[in-house]
Amino acid sequence: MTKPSLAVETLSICSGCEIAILDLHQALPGVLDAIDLKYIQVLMDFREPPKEGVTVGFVSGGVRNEEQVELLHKIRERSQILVAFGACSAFGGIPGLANLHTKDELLQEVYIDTVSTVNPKGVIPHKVVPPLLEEVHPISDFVKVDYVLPGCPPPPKLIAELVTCLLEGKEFRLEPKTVCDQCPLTKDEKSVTNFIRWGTKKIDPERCLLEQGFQCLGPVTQGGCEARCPTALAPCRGCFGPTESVHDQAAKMIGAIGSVVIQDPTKAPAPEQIVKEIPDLVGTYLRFSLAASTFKKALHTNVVKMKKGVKA
Amino acid sequence: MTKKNWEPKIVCFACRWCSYAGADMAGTSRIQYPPNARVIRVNCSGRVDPQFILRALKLKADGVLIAGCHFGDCHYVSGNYQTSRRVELLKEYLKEIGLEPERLRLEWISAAEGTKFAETMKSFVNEIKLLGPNPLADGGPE
Amino acid sequence: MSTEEPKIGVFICHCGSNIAGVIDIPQLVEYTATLPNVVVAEDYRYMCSDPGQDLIRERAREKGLNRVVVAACSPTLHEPTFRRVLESMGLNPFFFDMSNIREHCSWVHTHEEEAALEKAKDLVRMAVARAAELEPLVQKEVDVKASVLVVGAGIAGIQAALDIADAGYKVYLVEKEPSIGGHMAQLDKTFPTLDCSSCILTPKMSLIGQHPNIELLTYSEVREVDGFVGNFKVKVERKPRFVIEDKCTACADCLEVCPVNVPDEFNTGLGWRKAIYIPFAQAVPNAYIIDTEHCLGMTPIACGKCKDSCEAEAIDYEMKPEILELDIGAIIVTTGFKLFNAMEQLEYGYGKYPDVMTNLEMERMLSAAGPTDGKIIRPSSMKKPKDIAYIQCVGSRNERYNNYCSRVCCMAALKQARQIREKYPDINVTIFYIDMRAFGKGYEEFYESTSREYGVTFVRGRVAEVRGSFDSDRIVIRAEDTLLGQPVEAEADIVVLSCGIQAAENQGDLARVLGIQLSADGFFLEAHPKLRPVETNTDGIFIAGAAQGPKDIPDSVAQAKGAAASALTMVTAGRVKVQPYAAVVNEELCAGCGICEASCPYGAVKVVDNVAQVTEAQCKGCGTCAAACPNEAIAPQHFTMDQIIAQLDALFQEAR
Repeated sequence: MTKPSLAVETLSICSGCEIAILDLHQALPGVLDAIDLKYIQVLMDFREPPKEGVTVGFVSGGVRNEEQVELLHKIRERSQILVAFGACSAFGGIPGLANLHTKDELLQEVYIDTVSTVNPKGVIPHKVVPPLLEEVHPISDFVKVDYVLPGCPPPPKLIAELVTCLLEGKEFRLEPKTVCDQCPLTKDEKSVTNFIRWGTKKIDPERCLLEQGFQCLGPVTQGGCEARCPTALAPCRGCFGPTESVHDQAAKMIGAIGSVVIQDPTKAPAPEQIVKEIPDLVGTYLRFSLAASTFKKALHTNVVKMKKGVKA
Repeated sequence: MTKKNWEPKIVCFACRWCSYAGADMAGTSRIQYPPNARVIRVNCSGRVDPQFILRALKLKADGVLIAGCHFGDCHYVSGNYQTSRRVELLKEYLKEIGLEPERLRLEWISAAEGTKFAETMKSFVNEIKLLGPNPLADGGPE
Repeated sequence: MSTEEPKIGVFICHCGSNIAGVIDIPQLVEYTATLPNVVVAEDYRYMCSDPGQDLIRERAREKGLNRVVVAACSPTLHEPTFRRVLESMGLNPFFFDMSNIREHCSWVHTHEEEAALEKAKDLVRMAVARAAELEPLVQKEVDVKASVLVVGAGIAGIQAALDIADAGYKVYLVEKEPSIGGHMAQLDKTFPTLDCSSCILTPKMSLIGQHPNIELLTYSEVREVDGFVGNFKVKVERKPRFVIEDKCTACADCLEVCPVNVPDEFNTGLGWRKAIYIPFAQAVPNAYIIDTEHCLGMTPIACGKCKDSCEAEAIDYEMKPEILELDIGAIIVTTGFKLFNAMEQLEYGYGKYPDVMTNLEMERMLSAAGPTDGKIIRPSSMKKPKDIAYIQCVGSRNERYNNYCSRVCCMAALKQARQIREKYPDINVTIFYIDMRAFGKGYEEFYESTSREYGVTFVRGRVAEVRGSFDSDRIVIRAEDTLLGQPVEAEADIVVLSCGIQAAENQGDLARVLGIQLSADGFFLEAHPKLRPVETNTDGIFIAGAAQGPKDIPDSVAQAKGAAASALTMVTAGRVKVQPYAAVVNEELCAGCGICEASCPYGAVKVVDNVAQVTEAQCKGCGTCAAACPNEAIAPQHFTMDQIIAQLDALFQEAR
């Protein structure tokens, strides 16, 4: 029996997901024994997945430019099973936050406005480099995805689990519960009087971070990560994206925030105050999933736009 | 529909005890108001999941009105306080995503305030007319 | 969960011309027939009538309908009616939705027929989409506690309490004042029969005091109401009266020694009482009370004379407020009214001129048991007046104060005028009015005879100003006589202001405690102005008397009996159906984060072993938990996410 083959395609990403495969550590030789790794750019000098096709294709990274659209279609065609591997691939990830700006704004910022850029003629590269799309997309905007393994990066334990499932021909499914399910912190009473940013107050190491007023996205984030961040007393940032039953992490976080505030109206902060206490609401609540959220990007209909600070 | 005779389409979530009854009161009092809104009845304004509002806007609603009981009068004690926080945060969300927060409005309308219901409809429709159609509609992004 | 393919019948009501006069019904029917899952689309003149209901049954049988949508009036009005129709044909009553094309459409877009039709189409399409998502629900029955709480013991509360107690059920009658009786106890005689108020009220009061089924809680207030129809948990605070009711013999020994004099509220401040007092002679309970605000101090150091004088040892300075917890099946609210504060209408000079008084003050003066022993005197000179003028509609029918008519002041003024003329034929009485309203049984006749046989003068016109005369101690009234069309100026020795009826103080707070609504004028809101006049929108809570709106004694009593009958219907049945809207948890999705627990106003959701659990009896189905839940793991029945989203999507279906 031939070994199942694997190809890993890398799109708009930091390559952390590929490194996460190495984090399998002692399990890695076993996996490599069982799988024929055909293509992974960070390790091998191939330009595209093998023409004869592979059993499983992993795609890491979202889709930012036209070349990536082609690459994506190629690996889809050549894989029997396609896995969206990591937050960027699944929801656009951190690069998806660029969707708050137009393509032109981004090019202007990167090639002209940045202080460190020396570009006296103000040239924006347009030859040889693949043209940018208007916005970042999760891969599911273009192709059918068979499995999603979210995370920034996906935890090695789940990678192993996924690979095992694929090898054994079993369905891979994360339990449809949120991060809180596995969180070891104690949930007591949710009666927040003010929201605070991480690092501005001493943390009670026993208690639910949201109850302490930190913006922990655990409640609105797909679980399965063993609540790694809250366990280390860092609020969850939502890298597993929304669960299947939810369309928009920010909407659900807003729904939750409305209710975790102390119910006594004489003690509750004014709604306007709560807004002030959550700077960069979209960036906080949709840090990893903006490109897969309700609107997917900024609509740019506001006259007053969020422009970055004053330029020198 | 051409731009010229464009009429805003508005979704109104009304709590059954106060605002839906207020709309009924406008009816029994035959107070006329513009026919742009469609009311979805919920038990409490607190039932309005922020996802409903975003979905409505995504579906190109030109405006979304949430109507509930006045503070202190909520049939369910505190549902409307929770709603007020959610709506304020949602407006911030809309602002940051570049959609006019004015397209989302929260009003407290009691069962007796048929006039207020009608007035709210009038002023909201006017406000939305000034804003123009939902940018996702006709030739907008998407 | 029903797996059956939805077969929806849509029935569109003309409501005579109420809907059909605006909305093109044939077009709406034609459109409706094209909607998904719609098997039948038909119209009828009155869907709610018997033939209308039969039509639904017939079609359901013929076509095997499993969902029904009626496009007609507000569901508040007829949802229960049509649910019963479904039940009668063996369908689950919750496979029903209503599309409100009357209150929300034809009545409010009367002159925009095209737009109204478009809106009606949308509303029907939304209801059809929702209907396809409906799930069968089981309406639970719960036991009804065999006890009724009556809040407020004026004539309405007294009557309601007696009716229920006589039927053999336990009544808790809560009154915030030290005695029952309410405003009626202050009246001298009642129109139009002129029978003495005390003579008809006090026997009922004493029945209350003696009735084995009535537990009377005076000087007490309702603090908290929890639970639901049939099973209310009510907390009542008994304020300390510092006199033990059972021991007090009302001997009045304490009065002799009490050194403090206070204006007497019962006599509208026209007389005096002591700091230890009984509100009036026939008070029930017949026990004294210490007014701590004016008492010098309940210690031997400060005073303590009353305690020394009390042979019955009824005085207890150590008395503390007490909270009683009651299990109640139904609640009747009869908290009465407050007289309009005449000081607010500055131009009538109340508070500035001692001879300008309210109708209630005149009532006390007319009472043989009142501060003047029934004599009419000018407060400024203690002399007999020659001319008395009445000003009607003080605080009523006036945009600045209350828009409504207070209903009783016309008759009260006529009655007092007649009493004055009977007693003192030499005193002239003039009534300044906008319209005289004498609408009740025997009222018009009373008005006729008062003006003809008793020689009372009537001037039609709203009084502009009341001021002191420049050259005598009399009072000048300036008005426009709208019958003559000219200004008039009259002088009087006493001016009586016919102050109207207002919602009681703190009526809003009580509404909040009870979870019922107020109407725009501040009185309690009934479930339907015509057909459900004693019910509120909260099942199991009823209203009666002037707390619901200005009312005279016959109407208050009639309404109280109505409320008592409604409460009795519920209590005698012993079981009541509750709406099956309680929230349900999807344990597969719940991560036990506890945000629903924080959102629930009733403490009905608790996280146990990392999964939320709903106590069905406590949940009222508001659905706030569903908006709070970050994973759609909890939702109230009948208002699920799928149902609401179906409505939304259907609404924008055409635009997409």
